[in-house]
Amino acid sequence: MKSSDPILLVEDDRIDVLNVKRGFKDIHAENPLYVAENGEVALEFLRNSQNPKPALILLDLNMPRMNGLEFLRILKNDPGWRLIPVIVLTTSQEDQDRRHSFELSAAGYIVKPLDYDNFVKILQTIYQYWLLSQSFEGG
Amino acid sequence: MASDICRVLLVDDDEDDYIMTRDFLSEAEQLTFKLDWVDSYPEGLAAIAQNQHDVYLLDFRLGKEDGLELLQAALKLGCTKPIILLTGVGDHDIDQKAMATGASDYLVKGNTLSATLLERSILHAMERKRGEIRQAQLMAELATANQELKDFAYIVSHDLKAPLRGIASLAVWLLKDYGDRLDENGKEMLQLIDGRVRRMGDLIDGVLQYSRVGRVRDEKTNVDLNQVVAAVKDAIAPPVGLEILVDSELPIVFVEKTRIQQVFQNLISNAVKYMGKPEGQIRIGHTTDNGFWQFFVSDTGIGIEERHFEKVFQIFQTLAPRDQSESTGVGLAIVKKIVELYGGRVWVTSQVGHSSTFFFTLPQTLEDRDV
Repeated sequence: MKSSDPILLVEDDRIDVLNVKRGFKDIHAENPLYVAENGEVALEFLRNSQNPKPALILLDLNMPRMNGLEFLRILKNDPGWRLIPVIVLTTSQEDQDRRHSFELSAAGYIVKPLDYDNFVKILQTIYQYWLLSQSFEGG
Repeated sequence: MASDICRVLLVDDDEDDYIMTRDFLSEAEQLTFKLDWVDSYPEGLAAIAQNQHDVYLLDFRLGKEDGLELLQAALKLGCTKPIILLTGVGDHDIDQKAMATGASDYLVKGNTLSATLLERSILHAMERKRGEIRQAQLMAELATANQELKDFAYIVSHDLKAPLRGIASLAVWLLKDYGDRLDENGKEMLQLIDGRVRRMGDLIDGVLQYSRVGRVRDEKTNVDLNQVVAAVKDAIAPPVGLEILVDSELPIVFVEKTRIQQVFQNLISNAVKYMGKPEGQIRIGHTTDNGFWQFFVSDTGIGIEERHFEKVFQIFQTLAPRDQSESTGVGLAIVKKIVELYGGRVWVTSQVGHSSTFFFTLPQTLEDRDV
C-alpha cells in the first residue's frame, strides 16, 4: 500500500468513524479515507466505477442492514475484490466471530480498545504494517 | 381419588386376557378403571393415535406384529401416556428391551399376576410418566435459559461496550481540544468520566469472563499444575521483595487447562494485590485427602475479616472502596464457579493484618458437573 492509496472504512457508529479519522490525523496518515455506514453501502461504493478501489478495508462487524461478516462473504467471493485486504475492527471478543472472520480470509482481527490513546497506537501499528506490505494491484 | 376415572386401553389378541384384565381392574381399590379392548396391531395404533386413554396395556403377541413394535410406533407418534407391556413367562430379553425402548413397565402374565399388582403397576407407570414429562419440560426450559444466557453475553460484549467507547473517546477529545477553556474543576470532571468509563468497561469484561466459564468449553487434557503455576508466576511478574514459593510437587490433573490456569492466576494475583506491603511471601501447595486434592494459596498480606469470608466469593463484591480499587470483584467468583464445576469446594481462612489462605479441592477422579 502506498501513502496515497484509498482506504475504505465500513462503520456505522459516528464516534467510531471520528475515532479513525482523528486517529489517522494523529498518526499523519494522508490516505484518502472513505466511509460506508454498513455492508450494503460499502458494496455500492465498490460497485460504482467512479470510486477508486480501496487498497485496504477496515471493517466493523456489528452494523445494521448488512453486517460485517455478510459483507466479507460477498467481498471474498468476488474475483474483482477478493484480494483487497480486510481488517476487522470490532468490539466482539466472541470466538465465533473471530473464527468466521478468518474463515472468510480477514487479514486481521482487532478488538477496539476502550480508550482513544490505545486505539491510536493500534491504528499506527496496522497502518505502518500495510505501508510496508506490497499489495498485488498497483504494487 | 375414587371419583377419578382412569381410561385403559388393552391391545391383546386373546379374549381370555381381556376378561382377566377386566376382572382385575374391577377389583381395583384406588382408582375406577374404564377398560377398552382392541385385538390387533392396526386397531391398537389407531386408538393410540386418538390419544383418548390414560394408559396402554400391550400384549407382546399381536399376530404378525408384536407389542414391542407397537410400543415403538406409539412413541414415534409422540405418545405421552404410559405404556405397559404384557409378556409371557420367561421372556426376560423382551422385558429388558421393552424398558430400554421406553415402556413404563412390563408385567408377566400368568399365576403371579394379580389385581393388586396390575393396579399398582398402572398407578406407578402414570406417576413415573408425569415425572418424565415434567423433567422433559424442565430440561427444555433449561436449554432455553442457557441459550438466552449465551445470547445475552453476546449482546453485552457487542452492544453495551460500543456506546461506552464513544463516551470515553468524547471525554478524551473534550479534554484535548477544549482543555484550555476549562478550569481545573471542569477538567477533573472529565477525568472522573474517564475513570467511570474504564470501570464500567472492566465490569462488562468481568461479566463476560464470568459467564464464559459455563459457556465456553475446552478439551480436557492432563495438565501438570507445576507448569501452570510456573507460567502464572511468570505472567504476574511479582514485585521484587515478594516471594512466591511452591511447597509441594503438584499433581497432574485432567481438566481444561485455561480454566485451572484462571484459578491459580486469580488466587495468586489476588495474593499479590492484597499484600499491602513491599515485602511478603506467597506459598502454594497441596495435600491429599479422602479422594480429593486440597490446594492452598497462602499469603502474608492484609488479611480478611471473618465476616467477609463468604462475601469475597460473590461476584462484584470487593472490600476496598470502589474508587480506590482497581479490582472488579470477579476473580474469586470465577475461581468459585470453576472449582464447583469440577465438583470441588473453595474457602478462605485468615488472620487480619497477618495472612490469608485460600483453599480449594478437586476430586482426584474428575468428573464434570454440568449437563
